[in-house]
Amino acid sequence: MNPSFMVDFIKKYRRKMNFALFIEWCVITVAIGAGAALAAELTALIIPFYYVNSIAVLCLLLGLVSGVVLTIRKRYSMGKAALAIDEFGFSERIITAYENRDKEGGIYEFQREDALRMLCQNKDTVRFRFKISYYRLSLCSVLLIATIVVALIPSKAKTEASVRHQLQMSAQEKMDEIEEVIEALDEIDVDELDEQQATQIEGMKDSLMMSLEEMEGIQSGEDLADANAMENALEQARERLDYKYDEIAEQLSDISAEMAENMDVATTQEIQNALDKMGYQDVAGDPNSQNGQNVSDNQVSQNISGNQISQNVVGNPNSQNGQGISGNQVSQGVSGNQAGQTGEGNMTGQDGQDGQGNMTGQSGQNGQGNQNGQNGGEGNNGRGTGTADFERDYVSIPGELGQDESLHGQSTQNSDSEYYRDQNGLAWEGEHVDYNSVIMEYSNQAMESLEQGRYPSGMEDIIKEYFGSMN
Amino acid sequence: MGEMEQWQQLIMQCEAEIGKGIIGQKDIIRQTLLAMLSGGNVLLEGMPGLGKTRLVSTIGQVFRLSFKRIQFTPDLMPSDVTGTNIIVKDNQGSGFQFERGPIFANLVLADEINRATPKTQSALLEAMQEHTVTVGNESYGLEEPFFVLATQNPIEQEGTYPLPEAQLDRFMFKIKVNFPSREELYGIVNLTEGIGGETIPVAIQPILDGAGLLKVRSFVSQIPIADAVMNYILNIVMMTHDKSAHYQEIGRFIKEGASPRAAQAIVRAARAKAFVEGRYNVSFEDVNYVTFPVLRHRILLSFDAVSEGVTEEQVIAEILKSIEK
Repeated sequence: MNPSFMVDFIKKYRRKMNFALFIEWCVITVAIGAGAALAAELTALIIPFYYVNSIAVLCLLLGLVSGVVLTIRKRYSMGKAALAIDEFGFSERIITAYENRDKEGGIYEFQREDALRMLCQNKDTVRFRFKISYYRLSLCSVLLIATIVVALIPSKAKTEASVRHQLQMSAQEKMDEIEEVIEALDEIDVDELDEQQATQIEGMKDSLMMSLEEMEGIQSGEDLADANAMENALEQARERLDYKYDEIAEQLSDISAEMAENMDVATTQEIQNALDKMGYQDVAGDPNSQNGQNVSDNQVSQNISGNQISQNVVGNPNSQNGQGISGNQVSQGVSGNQAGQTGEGNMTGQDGQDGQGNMTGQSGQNGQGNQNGQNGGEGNNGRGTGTADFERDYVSIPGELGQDESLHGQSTQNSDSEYYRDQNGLAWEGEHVDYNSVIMEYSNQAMESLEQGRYPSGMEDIIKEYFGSMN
Repeated sequence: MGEMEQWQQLIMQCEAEIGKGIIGQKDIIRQTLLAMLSGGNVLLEGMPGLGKTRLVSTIGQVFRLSFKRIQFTPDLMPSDVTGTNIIVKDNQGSGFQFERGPIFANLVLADEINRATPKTQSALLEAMQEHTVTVGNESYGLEEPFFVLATQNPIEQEGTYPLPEAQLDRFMFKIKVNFPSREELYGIVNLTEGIGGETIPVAIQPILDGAGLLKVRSFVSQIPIADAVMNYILNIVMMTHDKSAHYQEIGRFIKEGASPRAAQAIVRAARAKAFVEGRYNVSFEDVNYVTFPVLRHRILLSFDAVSEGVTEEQVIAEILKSIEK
């Protein structure tokens, strides 16, 4: 009889034993993983956690992998398999023969022959019995099903988590965008710039760094109670960022124009890169083109000032223009050219109307009336009234009243209004007034003025729509 | 048929032949035979009249071995066992001649060994261990095979000298001889008294001799034992010393565990059992079978065991149940 028959027989039996061991361990470890997954899913019903499903799947996968690892570690050896076969009435003949399979000598050969003979005679009685704990299997199944069911149950916390995640993604996108812009600004060769320009570039980077930190704070969700708070914070951060982009783009355009005049193509290109990152196209070198065309986010925000060709790509010539809003129709409309400031404004009686936009204290009140307003030549990116003579503030209360008698607002004791960057974005000396109260006041005054017929005909709808959109 | 198989057949015949002269007591016969095949000695514990002497004499007839019986009494002297020098007069004068004692036989029955003094006991035990007898400056070898079957009465304790544990360790087996069953008793009475008062003679045929027995012993010692079985044996002996919390229930009943001789005895006896059953390997069942007679007299029970009425058999059974194969 061939001794290899016994070895092969033991191998086959061992495979069956190890497969059963694999099933047994996997049932245990997957049950544990399912238990952990169920705990995570139950927690996610109450506490917002966006990645809970991924965690649950990971727990199950870990359970499965652990089962595989444990099976490998605790797998049965050939000796164990031989002992298991001996339990079928072989009285340890098989294990003894297997251990001494390579030994020569009378007694060993007798013993091998005896074992092989018995194995051949009784091999059909050796049947592997697959034993599994039905309790464990049931427990594993129940936990898996429960995990799936709980995962499908909707809850407020899940909705909150989803919303927060989307907001975080949005914040992350903005962060990436800001980093790209900062990187582009870093690439500008400041050696080619004068001191003031270099200082401006540094100022831009500092300002963007503050926005970046703000976005990081939003993205981390610290000190934000819920998704609503996060959304509001993100919205405000976006507004500030868009304003900064406008400011930066304007300044970069100016610098670019100067560089173009000096035939510094490289620096001009670097500035263009930075503008591209912000979604602006600087065409400062081309007097026939549109200045300050903000094509980022919302094409509605194309407010082309300084150019008599007004383009409202949205197709609504009566709206949006003058709002100069990139991505947000509400905020910048306050500071940008108001309705009618663009080429349309020229047509529809810009005179004096700029004051609306300028009611917020924008310098450039000289854009009204007789002023072209547009000829700032500075590429007002959706804001500004085209004059280069005054500093522009986001919201400021001028020290002096404007020339237009229809200008309303509160004055302060301060004679100057200047803004500076503090913390993040803007702050200014003078009296700080809450935006919401200011805009309500302006809105009310605008409506009163409408009723009193102080605005040119044709502008009523624009004005109403404008202030209505802010409510 | 192979040589080993022939010897196996002879041993089976010997067992059957011994069974003719002894009614019942199959286990006793088997265990005694195993001890003989392993080269060990046996301590039989049982009431008088249970056939202990007849067993040894029957074995002697079957194996064609010389048989001597020594009745141990309190006044028995060592020289009564080993022999002594006596003065002999002959034509050339007088001189000392060593007169061999009853220990100079193949089979020795030491009846009621616990009745003799420790000094006399030690004379026998030395012979059991060394297979030699020393008288004066002379050492005399004992003829092989040499086998001692000692007996002791479990109930008579007055005027006895119980064997100390160290001496008990020299006996491979301690076999308890139980009272026969009713049927066995009928057979015994019928055998000895017969119908009409006539004893039915039983002819015991000799089957094997001393050389043959030695040959069988050599075969037995070659029987392979698997590592798993060896580990099982070692675990059994080690557990008699385990006082850990895991085996607390066993540990608290054992005051002193078994010596390494116990492991050796189990291995030899298990091999003998495998041989007798016609196998060429030792199995777990063989080990379980021989563990009881091997460990019975080697573990010292604690006061807890004695007070709770726990016997050695119960402790050994618990040990075998606790060990994984």
